Amino acid sequence: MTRSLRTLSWPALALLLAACGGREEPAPPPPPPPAAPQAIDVDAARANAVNTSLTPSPAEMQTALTRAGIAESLATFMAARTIAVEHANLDQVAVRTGVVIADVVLTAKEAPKETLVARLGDIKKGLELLGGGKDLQATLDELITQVQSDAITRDRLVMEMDELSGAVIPEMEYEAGPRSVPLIQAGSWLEGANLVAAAVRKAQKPEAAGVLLRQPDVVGYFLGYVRGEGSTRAPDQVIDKLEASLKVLQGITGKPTLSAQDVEILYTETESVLKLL
Amino acid sequence: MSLALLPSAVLLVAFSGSAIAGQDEAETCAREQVSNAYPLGWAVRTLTRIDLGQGETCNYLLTLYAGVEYRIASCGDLTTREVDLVLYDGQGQPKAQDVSTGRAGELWFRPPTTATYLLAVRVSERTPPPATQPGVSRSSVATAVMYK
Repeated sequence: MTRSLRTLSWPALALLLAACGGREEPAPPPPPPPAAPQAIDVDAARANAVNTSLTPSPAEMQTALTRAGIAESLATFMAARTIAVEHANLDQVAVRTGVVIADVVLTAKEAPKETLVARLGDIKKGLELLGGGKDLQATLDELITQVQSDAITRDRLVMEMDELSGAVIPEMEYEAGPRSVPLIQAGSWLEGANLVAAAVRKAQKPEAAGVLLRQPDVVGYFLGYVRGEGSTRAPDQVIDKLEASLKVLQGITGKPTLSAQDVEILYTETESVLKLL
Repeated sequence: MSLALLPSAVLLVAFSGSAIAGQDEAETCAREQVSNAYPLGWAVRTLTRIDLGQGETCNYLLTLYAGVEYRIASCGDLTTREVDLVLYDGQGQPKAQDVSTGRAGELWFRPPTTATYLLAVRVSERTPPPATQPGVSRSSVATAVMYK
């Protein structure tokens, strides 16, 4: 952010302006500049901070990958798997729906129409099971119709999916309870982190992992919900494995630098959860 | 299905009429900021909303990637006279702030390292509640986190 004028004192700035203008008529006094922010007690600020914007989106992961010098498309590492969103355990429904959202975002530009329509239908079903309202269902119906009839460009679809996951789904908290949204985000992040790890592994650039995968607060945020109050906490193979993997990932993603071995573990741990879905 | 076309009931749930109007104003304004940014290559991570009284601050934790450019835009409802944004690093040091005045604020930041940052959104000044709505003591502020 550039604000070089602000580094001048106001008397100095007034002198500078007077020198440039050369008029004797006094100008009205400028409004006082906003006070320069002071350092804060970050621990106190974090204690009541909001986590809704903490997690990078899958599309943002792709942007970060490119900026880190890895030209691969994350979609090329996506396993050819079909994830059923329907499940008796709503925590699983949320995680599965999040994975499918990531898949749509990351493949929107090149996936066959039929695949996109099927995945959008899965998202609709998952959100419905989680308590998403009729308006949300109508929104997804409209999106499906637009894809089916080629009435939406793929670039526009990416944008719409970004908005769906970043603006609309967070509002579901009112309808679906506080757990669903973080667990949807966890599913999307898990898929994205798995694909980023695969890309870093292939590019043999473990140094990029420090830029792309050092996200201990994100992992901690998800862990809080996976094992938190309100969880169904009946023994569940997927959720238990997710919790175990997140604990491993929390240690790795908190390291100052990540090694090739760390990337391998990160890939293996995320893959082992995704394979259970 | 642009945000502007979404049924308002998706975004606005379980609030009183005046509060809903404020939320609508804040979100419409923030959506406009996002819509203006899209043609310039920006994408949106989140667009969320919070209600704040005068002098109150909401802190958002944000994971920001090194090398990615971020643009954070907030907009308050019509009761908001001044919204201020400051981005702090993990040590609590200010790294960027918005310099605009009014109910909309924006800042840009390119992180030197991937880390968790803290965004403080503050309603520094708001209009007094109208006599007909004495209970409306908070302003709605919508905040969009964008990147490219």
